[in-house]
Amino acid sequence: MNELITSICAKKHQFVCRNTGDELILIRLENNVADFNQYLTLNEVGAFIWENLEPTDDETTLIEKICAEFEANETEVREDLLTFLKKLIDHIEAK
Amino acid sequence: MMHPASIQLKIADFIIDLILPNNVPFILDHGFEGYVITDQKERPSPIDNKSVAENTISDLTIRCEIGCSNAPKRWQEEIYSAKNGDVALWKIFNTVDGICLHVFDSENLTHLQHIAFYQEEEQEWVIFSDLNDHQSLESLRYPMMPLILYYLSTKTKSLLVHASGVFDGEDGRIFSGFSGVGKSTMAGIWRSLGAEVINDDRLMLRKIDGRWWMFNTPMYYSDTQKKAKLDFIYLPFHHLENTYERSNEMPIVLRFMAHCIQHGYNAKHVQWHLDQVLDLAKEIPFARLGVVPNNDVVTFIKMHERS
Repeated sequence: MNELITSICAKKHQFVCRNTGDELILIRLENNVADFNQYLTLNEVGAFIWENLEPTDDETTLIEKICAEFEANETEVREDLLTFLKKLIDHIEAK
Repeated sequence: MMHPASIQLKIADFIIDLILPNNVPFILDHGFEGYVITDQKERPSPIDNKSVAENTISDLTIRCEIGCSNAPKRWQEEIYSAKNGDVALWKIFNTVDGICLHVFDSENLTHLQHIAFYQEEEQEWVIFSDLNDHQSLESLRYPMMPLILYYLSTKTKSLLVHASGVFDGEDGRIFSGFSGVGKSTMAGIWRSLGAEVINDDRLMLRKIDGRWWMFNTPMYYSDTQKKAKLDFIYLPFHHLENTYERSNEMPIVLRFMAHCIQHGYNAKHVQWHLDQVLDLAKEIPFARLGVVPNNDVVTFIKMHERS
């Protein structure tokens, strides 16, 4: 999971994001131009992870942040987080 | 051909002051004629005998200078290049206090047409251009003015969009999309039924005093300034029957945003325009529109707008 976290952090700057209230929209920048065919919407939890993910995070610190914010069970969070990060990196790296 | 030391333009209700060098003929592209302010009543308030430079009511000031070689060489690293294949149409460089554009002649892309400096905070452009074969200055020659309008849209509540716009005396509608979706066809159908066509290809949308408006902007042909309130946004496509799918959900809203003109080099601009489009989506109904291109589509649209 730590590799996923590092990869995602390294590419966050390639996205423009806007909160629409219920969700966060991520739009990819290609050569500094927005690609509106490549966008992703994140729900409240996904948005929290995206906005709070930092290069210094690892699996442990990220799970701690999520559990603290949503009062969630660590085991469940670990499982869901891995699934989410895999989907996120698939989108980020999709061409 | 004009000789005054200043010219005022009004484009999409933006007041633009051109400061010109003395005693040099100045030429505006053909399509600008209807946008030159000749009657000072068109300005938002009197200029009180001040010079244009002292007058603070303009939205933008453009200082036109002679000679690309006279431009101070204070541009730094290249941050963006708009290309046609491998050839640059224009390049953007950082400067200490803004950006510098090197704009090439669209008819001869090896020829540097303008060196333009833009200071966003002061809303000022300084454009250096060589005199043409007739010893005249053409500081706003295409594509300079669309670029200027684009940067204006990154600082104001506005969007430049590939769309046709019509006003039938009651409602303003735009039909947005890339080439071939039927923008001009729709404009022609509405025109044939008496509606005013604001423009059939490119519009500037602006939010003024809490409501969205559409405007035409200078094209390659002469036109008068046109403006209408904006009530409906359509994304048309050719279809075997007329269809109407109203939705302000993200897939349609972002598809509309893809039709907005981008000369991006800066994520901040994309974020700004995204904010404008999200605001539009809060206030204006969007719909995908399958179109059979005949007059029946107008009745069909009005029926669905009322439902």
